[in-house]
Amino acid sequence: MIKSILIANRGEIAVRIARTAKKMGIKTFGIRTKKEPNAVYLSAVDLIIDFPETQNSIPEFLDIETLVQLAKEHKINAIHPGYGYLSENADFAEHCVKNKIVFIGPSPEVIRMMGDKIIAKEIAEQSGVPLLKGSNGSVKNEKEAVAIANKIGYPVIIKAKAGGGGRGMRIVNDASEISQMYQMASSEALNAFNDASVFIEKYLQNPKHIEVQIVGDSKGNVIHLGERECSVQRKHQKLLEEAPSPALTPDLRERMTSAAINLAKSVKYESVGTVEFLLDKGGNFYFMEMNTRIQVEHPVTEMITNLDLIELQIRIASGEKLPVKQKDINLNGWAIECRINAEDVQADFSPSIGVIRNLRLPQNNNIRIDTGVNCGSEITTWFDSMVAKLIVHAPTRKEAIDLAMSSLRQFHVKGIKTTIPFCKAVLNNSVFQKGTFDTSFIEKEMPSLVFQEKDEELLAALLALYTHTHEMESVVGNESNIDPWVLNKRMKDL
Amino acid sequence: MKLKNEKLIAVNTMTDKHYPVSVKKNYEFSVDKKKIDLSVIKEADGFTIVSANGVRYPAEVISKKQNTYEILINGVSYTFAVETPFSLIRKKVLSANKIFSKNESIKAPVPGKILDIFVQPGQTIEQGKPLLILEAMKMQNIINSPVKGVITKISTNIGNTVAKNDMLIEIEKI
Repeated sequence: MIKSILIANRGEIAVRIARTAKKMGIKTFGIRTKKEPNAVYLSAVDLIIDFPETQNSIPEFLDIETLVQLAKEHKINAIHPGYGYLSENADFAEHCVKNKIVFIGPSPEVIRMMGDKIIAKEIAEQSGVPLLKGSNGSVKNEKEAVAIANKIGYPVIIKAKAGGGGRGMRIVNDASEISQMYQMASSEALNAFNDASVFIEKYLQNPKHIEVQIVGDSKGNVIHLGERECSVQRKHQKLLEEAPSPALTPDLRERMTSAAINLAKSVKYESVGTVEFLLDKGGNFYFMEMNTRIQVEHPVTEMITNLDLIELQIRIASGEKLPVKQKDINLNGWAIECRINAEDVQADFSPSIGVIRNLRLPQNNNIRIDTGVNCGSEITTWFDSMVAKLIVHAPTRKEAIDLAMSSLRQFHVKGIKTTIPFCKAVLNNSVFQKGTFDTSFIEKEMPSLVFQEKDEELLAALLALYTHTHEMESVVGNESNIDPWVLNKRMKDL
Repeated sequence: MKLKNEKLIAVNTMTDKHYPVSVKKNYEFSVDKKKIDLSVIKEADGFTIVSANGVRYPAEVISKKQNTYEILINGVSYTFAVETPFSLIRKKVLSANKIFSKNESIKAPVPGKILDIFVQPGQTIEQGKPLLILEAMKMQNIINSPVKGVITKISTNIGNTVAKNDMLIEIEKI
């Protein structure tokens, strides 16, 4: 059994992991970096380790050697990587295993296979998961790229073999662009991932993005925990997720979850994982990739299944059997997660940095707020822009939307701009409410990216006027403008 | 201090929407001859609450530049210029005669790294067209030209790390 965990991450996910570890009676260690020595996650852990001075310039949470060394020095049993950073780095997992530290996640071999997009596709094909037409394996040269693209028909997408998170992708609309795009994608992949290999795939125009949460243990049991709808995206970044998906029929859900389970079983997947699919208008789904980590949007699944996914991760990593069977899993009600990022939506989602001077969190039944900041926290450009996640749970989708909306109305941040007005605009959108949206939703269906409350603009105008007239007042009454001689005389007269 | 009735107009500088308001004794506001029960309250937790017309929202003045105020209300920004009937006319005359500065400076909105620059000195740029990419918070931010003009100077290079408000590009408006 795992007795202590080093959390190799920061922010809300570090707080989240610490919460479950505490519940399970496991000692948690957090890592303090010079970039945010007073971060909130440090007060969530039991013990703090200062990240040592190193000779290299690798960012703290990417420094494999030092992180494992720290775990060894402090005799820590296990490392939880969270999401991002080293969570899907097979070398890190391998280095942990070599040093007899439990890596909370799947085996290094599975991470490596799924991290290689081409191998992942091969595995998916072998386990009978539908794939988009495309090159079998990486494309050798420009000539081959042209031949494949012409065969499968445009548009096609060129992806980096080592890519991920929306990076290293190029969409090619017709034959005239393919040569140039191939060159660009390949050199971009070389620069970004140190691997020039790319592959070609049929490009689905405006699909839905649906993912299936699966869990497997070391005894070969694999179950699914339903799907998540993640089609509200901007530049491949998810902004609002829900579970279940309004687009799935029971039959389609059955087929997609079975496909995900078959894929996980074929690689003897141990831990929690996510199989991502693209769903077209005709109800056909295609394998996109598998994520071998806990995901940002995992709370929506936790809400509808009443399970703690971090706890499952830790139990499975300790070698325990899955505590639940597929028949025990009931998908109950509807959950929505709104990501609250420090971004200025009105300035094209540009980062909004500064100090959170005040914070008002909503209070409601059936809501959950996962955050790594509090009043006084500084939002810097060192880290990603996520400030908090608001997760709501209600019996129906309509009620969940209403609850999310009323909670966001009580959620106020002073000091930085956030995506709260954007999330409200999504929830208030009729296409979103109908559930017929796809990944082009933000681009095509949102005339305004921010939601305006009743009379909001009028109140803003009045505040501007109020500030203006009151400034006028204060200038007149300003003591410092009084002639010092007059003041002197007045004081004498007192 | 003016105590008599005064007409002021808050102009939304983005949409040019006008909010004419008559002001009495600096604090009594009326819109369309109807008195507005406006209150601005600083609450214990540091938020400022503006209430009027039966609604109350947290709001703050983020910046002030002469008579222009940027207001953040419910997390949404609005920029208002406070004008008098006279200053509105003056503004119209001035803009018709183009007395305003012809130069537009593009400064770094956040600290970050310059990934790419799409323009060269001497080049003509349309409004809204990309000037450069600034990487911050793991995101690539495209900085677009706010005006139509000619690039007069580029003060940074690809690969540079820039601080907030560092001068990046200067444009002469056409």
